[in-house]
Amino acid sequence: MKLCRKDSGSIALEAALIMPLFLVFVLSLITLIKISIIDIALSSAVSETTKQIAAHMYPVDLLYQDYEHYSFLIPPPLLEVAKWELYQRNSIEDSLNHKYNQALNRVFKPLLNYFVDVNSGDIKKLNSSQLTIEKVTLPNLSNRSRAIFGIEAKYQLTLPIPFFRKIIYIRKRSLERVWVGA
Amino acid sequence: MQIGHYLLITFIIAAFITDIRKQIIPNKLTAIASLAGLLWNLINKGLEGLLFSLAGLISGFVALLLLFLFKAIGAGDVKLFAAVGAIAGTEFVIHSVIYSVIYAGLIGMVILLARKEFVKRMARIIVYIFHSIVLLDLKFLVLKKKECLTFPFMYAVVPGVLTVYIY
Repeated sequence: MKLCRKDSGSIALEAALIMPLFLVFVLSLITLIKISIIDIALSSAVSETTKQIAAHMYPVDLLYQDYEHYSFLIPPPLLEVAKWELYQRNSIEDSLNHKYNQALNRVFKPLLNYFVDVNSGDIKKLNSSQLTIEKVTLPNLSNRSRAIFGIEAKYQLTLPIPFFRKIIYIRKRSLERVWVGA
Repeated sequence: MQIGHYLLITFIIAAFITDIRKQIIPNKLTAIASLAGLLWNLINKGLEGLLFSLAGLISGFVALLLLFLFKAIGAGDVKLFAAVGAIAGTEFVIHSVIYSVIYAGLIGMVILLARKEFVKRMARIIVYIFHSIVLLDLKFLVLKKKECLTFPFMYAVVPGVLTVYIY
């Protein structure tokens, strides 16, 4: 084959002029696809998480009174949330806001990742290290009219544009009324 | 990572010199660099390193193979990027290709303006694009070397690789 024998190291001028145009076309296509994939994946992860939590809030409500007795009913990531609700929430809310955000991410990120993994099948579309939880609206279990759960998540995406380190953030928010029995 | 850096820099400089002198990147040079890259990654990180290196070699090769098939670049350039991939891995080589192509475009523009045949060559490029995209004439896609002005691709590869290093 010619490729094996030949060793010329030159580029045609015409090709040099056309290639960048082609490159721009391909890169912009990749960028658009990347953004839309992440947009879809993030919004489904966020809405799925809130839906699942809202639907399974009843045991948490029971748990609110009697934690030890019902703990076997709940999948592990949710158990962490419940424990957090019981033991840590008040003390963390009182401390610094920054610390609160850290704890928020530590507790709710595994939860969100849990639903990312469940929904995307074998392909991993979202990278956990680029994902941050912005805001969590916790349901008020003592006041039923304000029993709403919500998550706002942010995904950091570096665009593949040469010479520019352009970073964009994709934000998604989802709110859901929780079901806590009649 | 130290030895890998030296390996890459030496290789690029050697290829630069031969390419500018004779418009040739010797097969010996690319073969030695590829093997050295594979070996070094194998020694440094074991089997994982070898896989990383092989992936880089294949992606560097495939990325430029298409351009070679259209006679846009020489065979030496294809093997050069395969070797760069073997030394530095997939991500590095893909970025290098992208930046090199951009620099090649800039250099092409400068040559075009300097030779004062801008209109003539641009007209030919427009005809080329028209034939390949509108008329779907694939035979026309293969560039005829004799009609084309060529310059050493290494003029663009050196700044391209440097840019990837800096970013």
